Amino acid sequence: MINYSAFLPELFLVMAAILILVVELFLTPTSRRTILSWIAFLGTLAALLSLSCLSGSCPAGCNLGNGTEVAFNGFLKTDGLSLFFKMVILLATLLTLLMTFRYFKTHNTPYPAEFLAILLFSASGATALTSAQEIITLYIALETLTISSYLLASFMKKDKGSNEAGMKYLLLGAFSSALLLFGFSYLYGLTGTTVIAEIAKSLAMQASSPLAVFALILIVGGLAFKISLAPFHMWTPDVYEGAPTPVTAFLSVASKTAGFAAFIRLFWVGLNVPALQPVWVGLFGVLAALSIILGNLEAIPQKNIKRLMGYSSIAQAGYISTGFLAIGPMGLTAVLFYLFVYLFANMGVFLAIVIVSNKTGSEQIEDYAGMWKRSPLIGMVLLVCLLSLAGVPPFAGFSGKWYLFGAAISKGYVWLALVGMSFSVVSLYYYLQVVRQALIVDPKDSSPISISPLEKLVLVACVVITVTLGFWPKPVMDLAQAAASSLF
Amino acid sequence: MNSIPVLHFLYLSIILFSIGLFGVLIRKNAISVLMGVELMLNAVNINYLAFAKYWNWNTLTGPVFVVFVITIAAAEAAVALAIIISIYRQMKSTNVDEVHYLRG
Repeated sequence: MINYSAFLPELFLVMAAILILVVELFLTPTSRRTILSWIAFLGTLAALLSLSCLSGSCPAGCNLGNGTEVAFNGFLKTDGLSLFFKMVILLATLLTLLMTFRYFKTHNTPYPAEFLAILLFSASGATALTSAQEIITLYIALETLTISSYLLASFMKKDKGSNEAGMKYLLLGAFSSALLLFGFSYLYGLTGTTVIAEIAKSLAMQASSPLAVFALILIVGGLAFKISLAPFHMWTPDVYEGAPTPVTAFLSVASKTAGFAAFIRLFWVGLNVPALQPVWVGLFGVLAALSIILGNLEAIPQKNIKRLMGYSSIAQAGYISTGFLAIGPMGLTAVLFYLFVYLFANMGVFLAIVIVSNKTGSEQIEDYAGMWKRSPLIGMVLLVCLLSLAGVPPFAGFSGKWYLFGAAISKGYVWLALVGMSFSVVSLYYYLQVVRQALIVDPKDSSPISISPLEKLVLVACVVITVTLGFWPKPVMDLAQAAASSLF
Repeated sequence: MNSIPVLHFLYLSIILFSIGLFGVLIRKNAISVLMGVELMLNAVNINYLAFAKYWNWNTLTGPVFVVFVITIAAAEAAVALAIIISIYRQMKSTNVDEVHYLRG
């Protein structure tokens, strides 16, 4: 008997994706985009609501189980931690769907059904990755996410940038998967099992061997590609610039969140043994510092806002890795909270980018001149969300970084926290370049930008959440603490 | 009964992996890079089967992983070739160096 509730959200996503592919055959080209978008939206919403039922404390009282669901001999376990990650991923998917609707108004594609279906398949891979307790499951979920992402990134067939983004992403992604798998194969060779908890038991009884360290380096390298940690970040700016904007937004949040979920399962549970822990902690310390330094410095000369967000996301991955190094409930809570904050700040900015480039047809930062006068709301979103990403005090990004660096300092990584803090100041420069264009410079073209009511609602929600969590982080912190307690 | 020691398989796989890695790093043609990746994945498969033989063949973990790796490699190759054909139609080249529309 299979326990379906362990993968209920994935089931909803996959069913919606298949439904989209089937229903598309019966629709006329004029009506189908709206109907298919609604199916995708409802499927994702159902998956999101099912998380609340699975958590065991549903406000509506429709509980399924008590918060931990196991399926396939324990290969897939949905606990509080994976529910939090799934929530972030599914919220990102919902916002991506909203952007998709606007994006395809100007960038016409004859294949809206395929785009939506692949997006949902990709999201199902990301959510499954957060529950994987075993290496084969983890690898399959990871590849479901990334192979779909290659297709999404290169979806605009007629666009040179999109094609190039897809090719670069694919070649480097396939290469990093091969590294990761080679590492996994040695891990299997050392322990004789692929279950992460069993690997930990078996490794704890062994002394450190060169083979284990070699496997570890391969695994760190392979996974660091996926969350774009420097020096494995060279694909990020090109893919972020070339891919369709909704896909960029999806990659920047959903794919990164899933990557961190895999990191936590694999390293905190499987490789957290005395012989190996100092090695990977050292490696990650270097990678996190390099990402923060390189990401922030290379973002400064950028002229294209999507490319700028690409470098910014490298730096953000570095900050989150700082919290990842502080193994323990405090570090995990900080990582979860920051991912939540990052979700709304980043998605707000990307929604603004989609709306603006829909009107102006440009992604250059100089074309954001006077955005404040053309649409006060977009000016507001850029101000609040970008300053939050920079970590300026009243906004949520500040409290998020406070927790991250606080956790790192409590575990003795003072140098890393100092690097993070000082380069947050550097990051303020390039974020403020955009804000300066939007708020201070006079517009070249002052025609107003129209925003649909739903988009207005989401933009306001992003601003409100980003401001509120800065003053009052408690609700999300409580949620993150509850999620973290399922691992410790 | 005498059989080939596991270590020999591991030597073979590390040689195969290095050839693949070398191909990925020095080749300019996207399809050659992809072939390098396939070699690396085959090295992984040899590793899994060798370790499965070393541990316990009856649990089937190693062989099952190999089947999944082959399947996913096939999916990856299908997507890769589709994207490379699309690139070729656009730019009349599949050289990684010549495809540089995106620049910072």
